[in-house]
Amino acid sequence: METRALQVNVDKCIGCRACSAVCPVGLIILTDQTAQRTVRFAAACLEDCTLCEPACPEGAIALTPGAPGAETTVGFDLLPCAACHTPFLTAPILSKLRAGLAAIGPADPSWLTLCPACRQTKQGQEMAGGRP
Amino acid sequence: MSGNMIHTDLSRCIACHACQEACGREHGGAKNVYLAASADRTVPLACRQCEPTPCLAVCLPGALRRAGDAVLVDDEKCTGCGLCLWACPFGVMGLSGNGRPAHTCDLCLARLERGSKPACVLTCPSKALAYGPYEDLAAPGRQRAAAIQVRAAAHSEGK
Repeated sequence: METRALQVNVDKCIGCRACSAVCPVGLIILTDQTAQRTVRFAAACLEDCTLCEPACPEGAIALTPGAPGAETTVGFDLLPCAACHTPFLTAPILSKLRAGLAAIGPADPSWLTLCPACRQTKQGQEMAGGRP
Repeated sequence: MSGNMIHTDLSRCIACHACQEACGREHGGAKNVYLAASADRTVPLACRQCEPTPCLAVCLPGALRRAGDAVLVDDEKCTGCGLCLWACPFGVMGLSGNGRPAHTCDLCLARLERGSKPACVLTCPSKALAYGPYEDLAAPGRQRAAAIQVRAAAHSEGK
């Protein structure tokens, strides 16, 4: 397998976990540090594998034959949970969720700005509040 | 669509976590039952198999699908992007330890197919969980709740 350049369109990347989760050799690393998410892409891939390219929901990754360029790093601010203020979601993902949910339900689903733990708490309180 | 669901009678839950453990055993370690603590209660939560289905609407690789009453994850197709987790109104989707695949309550479909019940329902020692059509399940809880209210009223009048 020849070396392939791992090219990333940083403007398309939304900071989801797909590429880092499917990469079997850890060439794409996602790190969350307080309110900042960083996705670091190696410059090249030597493996006989193309998992990351189709996994990217935005088509931001291209594996192209030839010499590697530079390592790519993409950074995102993480938006805070509306209830507990823990940073948890990138703005591009939030936009994507709003667009996806607009087709099936309320235009502005109120839960999207809550982190999953706070969604559980809210649900628990609502269920417990309605019953003796 | 038979309209069956897992129903929770909160007045019976003793917060023992047996439902969570049973779920994990049934699903290779992935626990799809969550216990939310409110002021004076613990509330077992799991996927509500929503219709329409937010997680399915945002799943880009097409890894989620409906099978009868349940929403199922195709482990091979799931990329672990996490969009379903952020779309879930109840915060009850999870990602496996190494990042993928996502996992959520499948109502223990394999058990249902052989005439059994979801593992959490079978395990619950206080019978707080039940599986069946909503109306059949909700009525006994409402009747018990009403009886408790009546007893409480009689008690306070007796003072």
